[in-house]
Amino acid sequence: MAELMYQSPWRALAPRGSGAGVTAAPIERRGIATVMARKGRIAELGAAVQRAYGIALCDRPKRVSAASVTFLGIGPGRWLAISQRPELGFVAVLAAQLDGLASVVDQSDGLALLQLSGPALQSVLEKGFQIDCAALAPDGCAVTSVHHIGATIWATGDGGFAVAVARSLVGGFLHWLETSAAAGGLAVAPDRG
Amino acid sequence: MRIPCPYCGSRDVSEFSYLGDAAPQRPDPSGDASSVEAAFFDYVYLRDNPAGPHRGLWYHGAGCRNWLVVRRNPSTHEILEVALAAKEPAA
Repeated sequence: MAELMYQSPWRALAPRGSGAGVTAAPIERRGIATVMARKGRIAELGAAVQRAYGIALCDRPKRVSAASVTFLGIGPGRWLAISQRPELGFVAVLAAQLDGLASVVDQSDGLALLQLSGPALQSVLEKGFQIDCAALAPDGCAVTSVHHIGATIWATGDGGFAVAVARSLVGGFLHWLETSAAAGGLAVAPDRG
Repeated sequence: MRIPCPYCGSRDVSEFSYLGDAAPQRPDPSGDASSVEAAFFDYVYLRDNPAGPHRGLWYHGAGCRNWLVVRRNPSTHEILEVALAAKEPAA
């Protein structure tokens, strides 16, 4: 079978205005999956995740991270799992580890992740999100919408935020981001690796 | 209007879709045909229109994607209680 060439969903991301009120850094090459607990199996699921990744899952809109894996609460009994090591077959391994406890669905190709930071970040987020993003720090997470585009936003614990949007809607999201951040300057940093 | 989702917290009403009254329960389709038909007519078409607190089903489609039962007063727009529909005791 032909091997598809990797193309960044953020290849159209470009600096705007002058200065660096907001700095955007693509988060590339992640293994991403939704984890949906089977009925009545949340406690066993939590124990399995604790064994496998040393993460204490909590059934609330929170980010919990270990060495290279992050779990975000996106709904009751549902999480978005993100791994920095997709080359190890993260999603398939996770699905096998949680077999019978949760439905694991690969989202790696469907979601685009962007890290945002900078002194003007809060005022820019306020132009699109209808929630108080500042209240999410240091480990909060929210499934909401920005500029009428479904988005998941979470505090990364370093004062910044990461945003996940559907890859097919990156064009619309960038339109909002570039327009909203241009006044204070939008800078682009390289992939966080 | 903002609805306090039990999972997500306070969110703008634009994140939700309204389905309708949370009270109707699907009747048992077995039994005498004419009484079943009457029960289904009531279930499908007839709704109370109280000028006071009312329980409605709302879907948090732009958030946690859960069904909520919201008790609110449509006369004052006051929201009295919100619960996940899945956590509601079966009627």
